[in-house]
Amino acid sequence: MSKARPVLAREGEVPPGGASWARWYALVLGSLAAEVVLFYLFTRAFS
Amino acid sequence: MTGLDWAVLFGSLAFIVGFGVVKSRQVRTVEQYLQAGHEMRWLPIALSIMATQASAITFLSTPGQAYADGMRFVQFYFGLPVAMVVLSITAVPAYHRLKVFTAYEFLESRLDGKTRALAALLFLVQRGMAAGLTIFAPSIILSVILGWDLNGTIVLIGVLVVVYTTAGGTRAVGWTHVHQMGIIFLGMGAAFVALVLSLPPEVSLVDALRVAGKLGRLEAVDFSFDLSSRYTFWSGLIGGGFLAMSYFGTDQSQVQRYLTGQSVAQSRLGLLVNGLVKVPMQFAILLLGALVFAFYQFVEPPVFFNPVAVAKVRAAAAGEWEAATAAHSDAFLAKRQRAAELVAALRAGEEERVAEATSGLRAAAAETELRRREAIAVIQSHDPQADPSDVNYVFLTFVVTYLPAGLVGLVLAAVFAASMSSTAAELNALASTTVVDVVRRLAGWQGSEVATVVISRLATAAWGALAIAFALSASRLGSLVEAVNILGSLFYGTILGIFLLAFYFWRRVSGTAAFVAALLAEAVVLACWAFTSVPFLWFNVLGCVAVLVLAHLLTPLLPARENR
Repeated sequence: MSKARPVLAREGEVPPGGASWARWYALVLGSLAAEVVLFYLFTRAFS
Repeated sequence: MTGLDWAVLFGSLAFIVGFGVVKSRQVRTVEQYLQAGHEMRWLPIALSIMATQASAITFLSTPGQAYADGMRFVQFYFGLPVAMVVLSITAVPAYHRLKVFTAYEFLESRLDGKTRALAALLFLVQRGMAAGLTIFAPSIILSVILGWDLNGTIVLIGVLVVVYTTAGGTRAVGWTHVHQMGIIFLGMGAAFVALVLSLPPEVSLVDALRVAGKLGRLEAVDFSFDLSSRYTFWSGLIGGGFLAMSYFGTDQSQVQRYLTGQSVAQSRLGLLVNGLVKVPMQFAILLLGALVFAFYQFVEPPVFFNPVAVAKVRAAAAGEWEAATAAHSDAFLAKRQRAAELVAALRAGEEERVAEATSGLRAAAAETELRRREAIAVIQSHDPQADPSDVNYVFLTFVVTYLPAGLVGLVLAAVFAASMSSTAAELNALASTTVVDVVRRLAGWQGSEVATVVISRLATAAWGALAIAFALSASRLGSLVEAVNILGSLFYGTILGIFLLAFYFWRRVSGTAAFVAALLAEAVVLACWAFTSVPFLWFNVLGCVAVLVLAHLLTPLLPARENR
């Protein structure tokens, strides 16, 4: 079985667009927090 | 179904299968067959991850769940974005660095061979049965609503998937996922627009949402820490987070999706985009169900959404059934009047009138539900085996009754696409695990590159045939199907515990201790499931913590780790 992985394991590379990974993680978690708040307001508005 | 619907449905299916077969022509090596030659970028990876998780049941049952129980199910997904971040930091670079073909290979490099074999076998048993159910579940719903032959539907879905998955392996699965998600988004978006346009002219979208909200169908967030409630913010964030970490981090059907990435960055970004999109997507699907609920406050729904059960009771006790439906119809007309009064009061903005109309509507809704329960009791009195739940049939009934020609075919194409996408990923992962972890590692077979591709194709076809056979016999297995479904969800905590040991504690615990701890933890989880009423999401936490604690306690008593 071939083990050749020429383009893999470049762990240090930055995400496409150049932003840091920390910003991506903050974006994902921040979006979750915003969604929870929006869903809560949605629940309050219509109940 | 009109000719246009059939054309849209079969045109979509032919495109997907044809595209998958075309992609298979470029597959020559094991790496291309099992890991798509590491050619995928972040967007196809994200879509492939979503397509793998989104089975047909997601699109058939989830709106029905919102119809019956409201939108609280969205909280189940709150832990998913957190899990995507954790896995992006930990699992993605670890799997890439060790150049594994399956997630279970990683366990041997950190713990030992028997722990790898245990996790791989648990996966094969679980997924092998789940693949059959992934085909069976939408087939039974389609056959009931559309009157299609059940076995024919199972064979159609199964054979279509097996053809391109066997031919093209991971490459075909990944690229067809992209088009399947396109069809799914298109179908669901079209259904949403058509639903809003189907509302009675005197009812706006905001009116519909307000009525659904007053009847408790828009309660999306519950911050109470209530262990008896299945879906709360906390159970979703913590229990759902553990479940998502286990599913996306240790289940080969998902791991295989992001192992196709060109680099760590592409794989990582694919997971993170999934974390961004999944919660809003599930919210939209649930909102679809809540709007169907609002629609049926103004347009009379069937008393029971399963037409096969209704046909049976009509044949057995026509008079009794007609009396029950007439009582339900009277109750509905009174409820519709109350709903119209509520809309008028809300538009007038008079709080006292709104409170009075809300209370009147809730009383009328309770009365209608009571009449519905009486009708269901009539069904069960003549067929004790009849399932009293009809949530799986709500959305598709609405689609085939009220959507225009062409859109019915598009929504059905989305259901087929969802069923095929998750089944294809399962067969692909089952074949990889069989070849890499069983045939090569356990049996010790070392064939050439060409022979390994042939064996992988045979394994895919064999798992496909097994899944179809299981689906064909599922209707005769009765409650065993439900048991298999429940049991499948009980293993994830234990498997996650094994992987956490391998990721973070492998220097402190022995392989044998990890293996024994996994067996004991599974026994604890199964005992809790059998003897307590704890909601199942918490079993993910329990199984995981039990493995971690027991492995540390057992390490001094059991032999030092071997085979590192």
